Amino acid sequence: MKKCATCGRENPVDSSFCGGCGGYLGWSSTGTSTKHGVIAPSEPVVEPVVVLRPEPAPPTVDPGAPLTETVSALEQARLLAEQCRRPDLGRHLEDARARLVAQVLGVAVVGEFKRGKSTLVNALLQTDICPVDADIVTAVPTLVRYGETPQAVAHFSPAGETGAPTVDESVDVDQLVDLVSEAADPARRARLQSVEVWLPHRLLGTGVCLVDTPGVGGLESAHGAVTLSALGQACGMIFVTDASQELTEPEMRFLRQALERTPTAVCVVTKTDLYPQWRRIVELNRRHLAEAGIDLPVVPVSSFLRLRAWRSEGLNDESGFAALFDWIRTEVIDAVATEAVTAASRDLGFVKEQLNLEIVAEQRVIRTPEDGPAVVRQLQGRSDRTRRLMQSDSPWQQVLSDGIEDLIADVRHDLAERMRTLTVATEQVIEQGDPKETWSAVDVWLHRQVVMTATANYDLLERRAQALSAEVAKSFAAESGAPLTLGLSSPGELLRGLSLSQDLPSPGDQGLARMVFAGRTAVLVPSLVFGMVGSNMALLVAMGPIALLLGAGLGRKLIRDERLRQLVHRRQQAKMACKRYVDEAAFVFGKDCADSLRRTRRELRDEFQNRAAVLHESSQRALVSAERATELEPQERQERAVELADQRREVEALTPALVRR
Amino acid sequence: MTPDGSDPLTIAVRSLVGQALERALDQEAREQLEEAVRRLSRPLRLAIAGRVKAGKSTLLNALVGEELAPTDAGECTRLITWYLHGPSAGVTVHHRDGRVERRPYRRDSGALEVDLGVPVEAVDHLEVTWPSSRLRDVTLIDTPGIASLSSEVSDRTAALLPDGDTRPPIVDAVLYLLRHAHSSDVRFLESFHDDELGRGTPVNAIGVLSRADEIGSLRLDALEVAARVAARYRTDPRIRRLCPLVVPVAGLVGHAGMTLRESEYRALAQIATAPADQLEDLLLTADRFCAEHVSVPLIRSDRQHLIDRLGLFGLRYAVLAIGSGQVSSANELALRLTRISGLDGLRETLLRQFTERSRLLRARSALASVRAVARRGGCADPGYLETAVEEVASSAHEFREIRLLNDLRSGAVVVPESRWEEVDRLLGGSGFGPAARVGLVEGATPPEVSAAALRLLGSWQALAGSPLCGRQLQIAARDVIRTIEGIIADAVPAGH
Repeated sequence: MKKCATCGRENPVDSSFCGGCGGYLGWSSTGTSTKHGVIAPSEPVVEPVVVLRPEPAPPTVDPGAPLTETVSALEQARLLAEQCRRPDLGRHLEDARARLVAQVLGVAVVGEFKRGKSTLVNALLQTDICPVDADIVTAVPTLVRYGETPQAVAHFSPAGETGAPTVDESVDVDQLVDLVSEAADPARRARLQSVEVWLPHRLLGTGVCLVDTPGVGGLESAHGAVTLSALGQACGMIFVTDASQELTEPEMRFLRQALERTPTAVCVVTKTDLYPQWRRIVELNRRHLAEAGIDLPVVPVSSFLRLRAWRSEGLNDESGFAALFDWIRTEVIDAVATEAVTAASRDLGFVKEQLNLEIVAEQRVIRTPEDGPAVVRQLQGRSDRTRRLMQSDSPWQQVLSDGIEDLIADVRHDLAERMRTLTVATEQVIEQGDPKETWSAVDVWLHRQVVMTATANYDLLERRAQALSAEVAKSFAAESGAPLTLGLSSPGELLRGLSLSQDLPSPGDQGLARMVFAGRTAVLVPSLVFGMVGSNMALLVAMGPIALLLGAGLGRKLIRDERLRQLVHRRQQAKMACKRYVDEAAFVFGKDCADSLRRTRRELRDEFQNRAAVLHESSQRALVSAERATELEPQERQERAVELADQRREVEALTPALVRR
Repeated sequence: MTPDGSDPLTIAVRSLVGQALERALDQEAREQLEEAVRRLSRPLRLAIAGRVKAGKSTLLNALVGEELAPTDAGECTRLITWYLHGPSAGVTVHHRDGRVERRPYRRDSGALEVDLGVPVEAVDHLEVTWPSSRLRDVTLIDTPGIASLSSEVSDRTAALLPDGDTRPPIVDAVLYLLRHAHSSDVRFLESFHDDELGRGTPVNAIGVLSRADEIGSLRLDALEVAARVAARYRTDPRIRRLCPLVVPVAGLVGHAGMTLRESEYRALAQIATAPADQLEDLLLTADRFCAEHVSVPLIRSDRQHLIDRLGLFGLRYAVLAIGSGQVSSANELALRLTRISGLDGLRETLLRQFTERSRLLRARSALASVRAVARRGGCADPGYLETAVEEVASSAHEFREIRLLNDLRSGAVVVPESRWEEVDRLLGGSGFGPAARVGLVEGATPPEVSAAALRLLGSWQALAGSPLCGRQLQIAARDVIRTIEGIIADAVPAGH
């Protein structure tokens, strides 16, 4: 049992977080903490709710217990590589270590409006960083991540044309509430796309990053689609519903879609402190989920109690947050840690192989000198191959540049195709009704469709980019190595993905609405017709009843025609506005996709080129060593053999530290 | 205003329906028209609709002042249920196949438990007749929630709404319960369209911000926040277009206030005597209040009962009110609870918006029925009947008012922002009494009313005559002038 230093709760041996207070347990066991110079905090974690900076800042970002060992193994390997005069391998390991430490575990908090998502984030961190209000809803996604000093940055959309980069602005943490609340300057608030907050909190210190999302109004809303697209990049999802009622049909629909993107999820029932029948609701929700065939843990919590946990001891247990922390620990951190450790092991394995190449070659020459020339020949061939890998006309480079070109064309075509289908569908929708009445519905519908189209297009891009990198890797014949970080899934992209679809102008802008209604107040031809009938009545009577009948018929037809003409005009205007909007959207998305693909190409190329350089260096050095070994005297050979055996052992010794418990 | 249906409009409509009846060709048309005649003298039909678990049944119980509709933490209303006034209590089951059957019911634990005798799927709706004075003027219709997990339940509610113009509208008006502006809420409201006669909803829907006590995590200022939220909804164009009025109501608290018992007051008073720190601990969460052992001498089932009746907010509020000496009897507490729940506000709004307007709404419904039957070909001489409907509809100034009000509120007719409130009031938006229309307090003397009306008349005549004002506005201004003239004519006694 591991005892939590802050709250005293006994936790299972392999846990990295306290189930009670959420404190990180690594600091309570002396083993890892002293090695990395992490100072155990002296004050308790739980502090009054009003305190904004509840956590003492640990001096380094600690990636969490299972990762710590891997990090130290990588460090050892790096020292060894430098000893072997291989700074290039040292850099490779340094990169792997940096990747491991900077690991971001995005956990998205999603759910309907007013279910207590922001409060849940606050309660998890025991802070008041997310603005909470009875009335105002969270309008923009807030990303809460680890930072040594509390700070916040607001991302604004550029004032000018769409497609320009976002404007970042540093905000005082205490003023976040003002920024997103009603009191803020509305023009400024409208441009606000997302908020990023850094807090020195231990939960975040493990790489967990919480994303507080705006409420989704069912799948119909654009917000829902945006949230869904963001979920593609999250490691885990906390689906929030409250104890006031059982899960509703839109909630279930959203949940089903969201699970396709983020299968790691938990359903949290908040506000259990307010409702005496919360156990019934939890039971009903479990049943609904089971009926829908969704296997999801249901965790009832009370953020209210957890935020007041500093007042008395029992409150934290009563709040039910322990179960949520357990979930974060086992399902998110441990699962991702396993993956990260596997990746790091692959990096280590690659380095080992490279170091061994030189040693093994020399050993072979020393052991059987008569094989010397054959070995040198073999290595010569290898060196030639690796040199070719580095050249810009090497096959893998071809695969990459051709692949990217194809990809850009395909993604563009896909987008154009989707947008065209959407335009046709929009025109049909407009034809079915009178824009005067249906416009507000069409506006909302179109906005949602555009976001969904873009999301689908983005999915395709991601899938294909991943396939391409696999293909390049195959062509490169790199059997082992780090998984390649694609430019598409880096944490910064998480926010970009969220804001992507929000910087578009809504098609329901004032201008069109005014235009549509203007149709009603425009000069009305029918009244002129009536006027004519009135003034010429005497004449018509003189002409007899048949003429009167004709006149009346003519008038009625004119009215009908005029109505029809106005309707057609309105429809045309609406169609044009929709088309403009869709074009604009296609332009922005197209540029965005092409940009990220180019970035992907650059990153892939650099990654593989580095690797080619490492391979070449290894084969080159192996060649040099082997040649040198063939010229050694028997006496020197013996000494060298001992040295090499030692080196070999050292390299082999790198493995055991990596085997996870 | 003549509630007995002897006003000129009702008489005209009645004679028109009579003419249609003479021309009816088939049994169905005859039945529809007879139903329309009956409805002219029947109470207003008010549907209570909203998303699942919005608190519809609770509100219905609070409005009747009796526990009739079953309520539960889980989803529980699965059938459309009509609550009508009747000399004796009884439940009738209307089957899908058209059969009508009286069924036994029980009322052990408060709410009605009806023995349907058949599966729920075979039942179209239930009709409950109850001898309650509060049902005399209005028939309440409880509906299953939309956006329910069982889509069949949602479909039932959607079927209550008129589709196309071949079916007469079933309900005259709707109370729409919003918990938050969800997209499915707005879609539902949009589907609540009438035919051309009412052309839409702003005049026959009231938004109710329900479960208002739960807004903002049951803090004691929850209802103030709720009022703020409701005010914001009123300015949201999407909601304003559908129901321009949003009132916050805490149904559970209201119901408790309407039906508070002496024993409950005594239990609450007993809790209120506990020391402050113990009270705080006790009322911290619902679970704590219902725990096995607590510091107050009140058995668990009694505490359970109190929290079920009042909710945590009502409980906290009542204990605070008693503890601070603001109330000292069951009666005072009941009044206070009813007042803060917003139920009084809703009643007043209902009276203003619907009960006074119900004659108009019913006449409109009857005309719609005639038109629907004529269009369907259920009558001989459909052209004549449609023309007659048009004649009645366009000659009744009340209809013009209501249509203009609707156009204004939906934004189809634009008046200068400075006159918006004034014109809405003049057209009866905040009450039909002449004093309310000219913006005076209730009870103003006729000379005061006519003086105010004359002032308004001048300004509107100037507007109507202004060459700068658009044609639409001119037409609107002429209608308003006619309304003001009517007010003046009523205010000045005959002979002057």
